[in-house]
Amino acid sequence: MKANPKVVLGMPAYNRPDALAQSLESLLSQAYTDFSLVVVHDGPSTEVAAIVETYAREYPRISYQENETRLGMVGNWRKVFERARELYPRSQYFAWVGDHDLWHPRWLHELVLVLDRQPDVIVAYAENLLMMTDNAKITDKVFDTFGVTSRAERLRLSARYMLSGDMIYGLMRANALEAAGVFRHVVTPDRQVLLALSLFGQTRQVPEVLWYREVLRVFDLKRQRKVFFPDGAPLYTYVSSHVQHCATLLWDFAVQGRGRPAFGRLAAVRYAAIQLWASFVRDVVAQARTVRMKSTNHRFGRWLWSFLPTGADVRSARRHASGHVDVPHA
Amino acid sequence: MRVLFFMRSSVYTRNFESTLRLLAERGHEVHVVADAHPYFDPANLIGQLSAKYPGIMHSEAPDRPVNGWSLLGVELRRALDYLRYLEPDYGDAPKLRRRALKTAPAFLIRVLERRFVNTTVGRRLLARLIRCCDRALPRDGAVDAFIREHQPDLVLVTPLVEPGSPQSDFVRSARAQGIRTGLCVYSWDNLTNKGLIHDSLDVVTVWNEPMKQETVGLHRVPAERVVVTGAVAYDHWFTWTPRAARDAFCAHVGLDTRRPYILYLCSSKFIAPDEAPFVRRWVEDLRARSATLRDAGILVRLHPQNVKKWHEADVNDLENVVIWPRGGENPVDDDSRADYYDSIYHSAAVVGVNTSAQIESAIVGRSVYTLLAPEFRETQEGTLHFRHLREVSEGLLQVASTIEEHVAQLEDGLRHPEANAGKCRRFVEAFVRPHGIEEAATPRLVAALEEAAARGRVRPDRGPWWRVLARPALGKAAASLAEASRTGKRHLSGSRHRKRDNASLAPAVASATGAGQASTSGLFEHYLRVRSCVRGLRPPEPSSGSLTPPERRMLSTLDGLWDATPESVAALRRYGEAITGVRASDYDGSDTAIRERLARDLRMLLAKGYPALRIDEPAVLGAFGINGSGHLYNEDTLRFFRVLTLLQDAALLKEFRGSSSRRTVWEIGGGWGGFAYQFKTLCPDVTYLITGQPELLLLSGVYLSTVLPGASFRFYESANPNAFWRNWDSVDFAFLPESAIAGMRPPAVDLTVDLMALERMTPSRIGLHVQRAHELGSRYFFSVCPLAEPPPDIASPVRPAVERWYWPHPVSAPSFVSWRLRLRRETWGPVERTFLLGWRRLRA
Repeated sequence: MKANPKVVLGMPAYNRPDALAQSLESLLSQAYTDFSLVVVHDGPSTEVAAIVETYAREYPRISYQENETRLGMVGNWRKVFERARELYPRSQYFAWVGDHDLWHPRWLHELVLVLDRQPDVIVAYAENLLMMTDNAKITDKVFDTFGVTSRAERLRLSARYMLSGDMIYGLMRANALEAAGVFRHVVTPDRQVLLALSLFGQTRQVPEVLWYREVLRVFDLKRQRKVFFPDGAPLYTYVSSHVQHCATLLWDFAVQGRGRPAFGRLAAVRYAAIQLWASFVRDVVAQARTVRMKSTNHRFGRWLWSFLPTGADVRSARRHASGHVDVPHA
Repeated sequence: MRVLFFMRSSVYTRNFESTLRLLAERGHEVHVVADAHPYFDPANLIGQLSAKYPGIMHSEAPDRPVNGWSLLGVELRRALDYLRYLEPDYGDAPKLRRRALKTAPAFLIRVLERRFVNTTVGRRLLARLIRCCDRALPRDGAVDAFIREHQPDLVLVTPLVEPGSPQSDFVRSARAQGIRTGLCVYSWDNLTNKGLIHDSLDVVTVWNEPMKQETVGLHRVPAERVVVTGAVAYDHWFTWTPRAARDAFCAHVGLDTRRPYILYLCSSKFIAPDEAPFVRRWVEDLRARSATLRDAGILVRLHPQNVKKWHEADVNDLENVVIWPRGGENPVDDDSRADYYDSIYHSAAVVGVNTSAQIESAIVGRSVYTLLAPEFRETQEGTLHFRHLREVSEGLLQVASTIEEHVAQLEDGLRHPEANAGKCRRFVEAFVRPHGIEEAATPRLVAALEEAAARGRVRPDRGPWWRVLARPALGKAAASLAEASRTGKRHLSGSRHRKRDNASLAPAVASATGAGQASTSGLFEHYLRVRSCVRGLRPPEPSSGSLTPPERRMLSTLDGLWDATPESVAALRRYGEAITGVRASDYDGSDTAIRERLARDLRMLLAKGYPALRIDEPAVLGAFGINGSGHLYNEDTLRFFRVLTLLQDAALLKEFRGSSSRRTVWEIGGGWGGFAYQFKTLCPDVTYLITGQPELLLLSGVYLSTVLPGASFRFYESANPNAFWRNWDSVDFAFLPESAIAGMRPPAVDLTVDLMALERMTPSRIGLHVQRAHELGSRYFFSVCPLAEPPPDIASPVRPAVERWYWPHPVSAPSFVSWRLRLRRETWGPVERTFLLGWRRLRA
């Protein structure tokens, strides 16, 4: 086991012995090898322990721990990160990995490449294939804030467009994650972490499907409260998640001033307001999109919408925006 | 005179060094605006010039935030650029069309799909409409301010004709302020190979009369505004003298000083993406065919922007052949220029595919030769600028269509080095120095610029009056593009992808390769050569006991190959029926059902958005299929295309296409060689190992050596098995009999492919193949066929054997494609279950 790997992968595991071996093998087959894997199972499990230890004997980069009592999803995610920092305090990058997902062998290599080459990027993540019970589909969304130097603009874009469920499994700079605060006790805590992270740096999406994500059920706030808070959800979790996130941003950065020296308390108030506004706009636009989807059931609606730019237009524009430099060749 | 000269990057300074010097010497102020390009311009030429001449200043391009108008302008101009390549002038330029398609905006492709639009009249009307939209766009305020701040008398741009012409913004801002504008055409291929001139200019300087005709004919610039100056980029070539004596130079580079040498000048990446195998084959051919040339040395000089592919090239085994400088060199400083000049000056003859260096050689007076190679057909005869080298003043090149003709020309050239001096001189007089060989081009260019500036200000052109009416509609598109450039959503709906599909169908690119024009006797030679290598792999006694009935049936059909006639070799492709079941007779035109089905399958495949993965059936060896829009394809072609898209979906192809290290692909069986051809065409930096029965090796070997004549082939020899694995990276295709699989030991295997070969085998042989793949470290195993419940005539299931050693892995194909396309001819089972991608198990 390397004492100071560059990357630590944290796997918060919970009762998936059926998928664990394949998940571990796909991580151990990564082309990029300077990493350690920290597995924390949320509760005692002889079956999971046996699987992990089988691999740990052969691959010392794996470490395994079980929680004595169940911490819930938020608690276990925090625990994994804390354990990773405790074991490898000098590691530079960190990523959470699921105990049932799969990764392409180039996944880590491509993400490390982004963070190594782009000092302003603090989260790099790949496109993914959603593996559902009956079929599989590619997530068709694009989001990154690469090149956006304004904190406020990054936060606005993140609040409006970010794909928190994908990005939270990206590779992050560990020190930035520490500064932003790891998984608060709120609903959709992944979104909260990423909003806070957007204040510290940029996000970059690797435009390749390198992560195969198992999705067994759709997003459900009720279930989230149950899984995140095994001892019962606090009352504030019934308030809008945007308000909860706004409050955490205010508390962390405006009251406690944890954003300094990067930004001060007053700026933090502005950022929290931007987050709140942009998040509500996001919800309104999502509703409008639903209307649009319904309208395209009609021929006239389809004709009307055909005048708006398509995904291909977007890609073409992005190619241009990326500053392609041509050189003479004859 | 105050000149503001916008260049795309500092690399472009190279061709205008003398112009900048002369302008400064005549007391003019020149401000060059160019972003630094440290890689291709490490010497920072413009920095040196501005240090030496107080009149020359330099700065980077103005900082321009990306805005929607600018994006929209580029998109509209890209559309116009692409429409240009659909004109009949480019009918024989498929590679140029494909390159233009890559930058064509998606909206144009969708529009072209509509009925009547993709006709001559439709395209003209569409171009007019797009041009109107482009003219109505507002200018960039940052550029306006930048130009106003510098108060120039003349604004120059180069190269301007990039796709989408981002430099148009500079021209428009200048014209809006009443400032004269000019384009100094960068090089001799710019007017035919790139985009259009979209704006009105006061002066366009070109090298010669043929380029003037291009400017007027292709770019619609009024003839009176085009000034023929000569090639300023080459003025210094007329004054240079060699720095080193011949013997000293030869000794320095490592050539035999006693023998003459031929200089091979490599071409750019676009012209010759992978030139190393061609050069090796060319050297071997020269030496095998001529005693005169066997003694001659060969100096290979790399193109400075196409060096990467040569990193692995090794010519140490070729006597008196040198690659120099090994890492390539851009002749921008005194030393590198002297090296370059000396290498041409001391050579006995110069050979190249299609490069500016051939013109430079003509200036020095060296005879220039070229061989019309099949692999470069699209970038020699398929480019308009190559015609200049062949046709201007009867041409500069000694062109040969066959290697025999080329050898004869070179022998003659070595015997009489001065014989072609007159031809070179005539070309130079017409193309490089049209005003007389003694008259330099730079003063003429500077005079043309002075004259343009002296005409004073023009009436400001702020765009058409109706621009304000059009802008609200255009503004919406611009705002969407601006927002989309930051965030966006990829739509994978079928309808949108159908549109993408036709994008790829748009360019009617002929698929016939040079190999397709090979003579029957040439094909038979390939066959005889391969047969002599494979014959030794046949077992002394037929061991039919281990073969399954389907295999015996297949091999008995192929048995006739051992004694094939030239006619049957010319129709070799038809033997493929025994392997894949695809019959040539199905494509004789009577069966419309198959045509419709394949057309639908092709649309679906193209809809996935990987048109670049489509490789047509080479029109050779009795190829058959549907000839649609210049593409020849049949069921096999689509099946292989489908496999490639699956590998792309699985994010595997990138490793093989863009890797810096050589990869090995093992195809079990090899079929008739069709998939190997497609894969190798897409991923040239791969050693492709084929194992199977000798009959299959003979079939695929003949096919591949015919369609890829430049590739290197290796056949297993049981008498010397170790030799098979030596210098593995230099081999393109390696053929190994199945009997030797147990002892095979390639350096690595990265991907194992089974295209319905395993399904014919016995369980023990299936197990052996999959286990060997796992033992050799093959990270991926791709198999077409692994049905859980095969029909009775199929020997055994493959899936359990693969799953024992490999994890079945999902492939990220959009479901609408997965469900409708078939990999097999038979219709049993959902499509997803007809292939399996396995990732290697760590604990099998």
